[in-house]
Amino acid sequence: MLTLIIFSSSLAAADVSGKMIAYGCFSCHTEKSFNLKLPVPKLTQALIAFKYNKKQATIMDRIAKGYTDAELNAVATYLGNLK
Amino acid sequence: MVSRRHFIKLTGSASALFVAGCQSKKLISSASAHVVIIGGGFGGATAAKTIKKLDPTIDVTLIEPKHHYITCPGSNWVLAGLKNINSLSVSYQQLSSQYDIKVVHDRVATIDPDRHFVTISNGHSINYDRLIVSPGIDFRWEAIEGHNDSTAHLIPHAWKAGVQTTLLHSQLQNMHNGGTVIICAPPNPFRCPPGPYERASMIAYYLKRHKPKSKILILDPKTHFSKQGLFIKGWEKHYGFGNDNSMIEWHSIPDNPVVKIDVKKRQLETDFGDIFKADVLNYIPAQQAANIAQTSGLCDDSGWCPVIHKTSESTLHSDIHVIGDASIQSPIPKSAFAANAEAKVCAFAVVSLLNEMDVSEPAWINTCYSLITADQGISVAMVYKLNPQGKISKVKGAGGVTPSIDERILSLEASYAKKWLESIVADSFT
Repeated sequence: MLTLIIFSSSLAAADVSGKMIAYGCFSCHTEKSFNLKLPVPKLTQALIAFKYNKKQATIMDRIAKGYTDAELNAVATYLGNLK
Repeated sequence: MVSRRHFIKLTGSASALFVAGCQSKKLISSASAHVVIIGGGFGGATAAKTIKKLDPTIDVTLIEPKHHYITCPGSNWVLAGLKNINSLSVSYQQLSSQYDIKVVHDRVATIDPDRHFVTISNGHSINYDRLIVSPGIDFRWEAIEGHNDSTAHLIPHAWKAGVQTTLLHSQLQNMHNGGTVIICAPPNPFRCPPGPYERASMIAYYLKRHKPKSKILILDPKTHFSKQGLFIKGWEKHYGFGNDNSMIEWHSIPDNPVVKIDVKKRQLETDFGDIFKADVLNYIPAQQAANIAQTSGLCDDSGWCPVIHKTSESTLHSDIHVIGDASIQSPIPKSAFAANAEAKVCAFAVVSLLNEMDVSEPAWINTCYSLITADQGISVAMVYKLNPQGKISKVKGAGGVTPSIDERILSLEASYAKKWLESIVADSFT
């Protein structure tokens, strides 16, 4: 049982850091545009809503589906704390 | 074990160490690692900036012959009259002043992977701890008879933006109403997969207004192309595609490719001897990694550079990373967006490796926007992660093309396409 758990967890990709994902965001949304200090819960909520088709979009829905909920939370935390 | 960086630190200030006669700890720690980057396109510029943002103590030198870079994204829009070529020009001033990146306007002549230096045209050499090669593409002229770089001033490829774009633009403007434009699309893999088809759209947009009796033929060695369904729907709606008098015709000729060009007559010949005569001929040649990658032993038999996907480090030479169009990062396409994304993943890895830290888990995004008309656009997007085998793979359920051909959605896509260009230029060069 234990070996099975270890085996399966080694197959699952590690989470990508909030910082790494955030640098991807900057290609379309410049870093300066995040300087508004958007509150983290609001950002997380928006990203999760894009991912689960609860918020209309042309492209953010397609992008948000690329990440786990934890990763979306991590990137929102990073972006929300940019100075 | 002494890592390369430590070795450099130990020996870098050799004369000072000799005088001191012993290993001064202060001297050792003050030596900075040096990253040299070849090529100032989206890949090279983004890599330089990202490394400096992540670790300002690393010295970064960017080597690029041009003082101004003209972006390929947006260059098809020039043909439609939607953009002035000058508005696509960016300088390296902000990279050097804001991020303390040393920009050397010169051409790299050779790379010495064993002794870790590059030589530039005046014979000077520049040492590196890690080298990032982002040189873009060159053309495989041997694939065509009767045409090469020396006749590109007659038959523009316009696949590197700048004078070539201006040349194609002026040829279109000088063409008579009722003329035939032929676009020869390249075989896979090539820079900007939707590019030839956006180009056809943008030329059609211009011709429809100014020379409506004209025609565009796309001769394609491929059986399908990027965003094909969306392009065809757009062409049907705006340019009569599929009708007898369609402004755009797409001819897929994989078994009968164009093999010969008579540049004076602007005439093409296919393998079976079919002749096509053009008034404006836009031959986009087959491509491979740029020459410096070929001569430095960074390419495999495919003509492109194989890399370890997690770090972009060459599988053929250690401490050399290859990013952008020149590198094999499939299934990520060759695009400016992809080069920007690959540069970031590479920069994170290079900074970690130089600081002897674990390389963090990478992720990439690519989005390719194309315009069908001045205010109708389409896109394809994807998020990529590393699979357990260490290869780049598409995240299941993510990405895809514009989900609807509703005019309102396509209008939003067009406005985002234009905003995207501003953002990616700002993100890469400022």
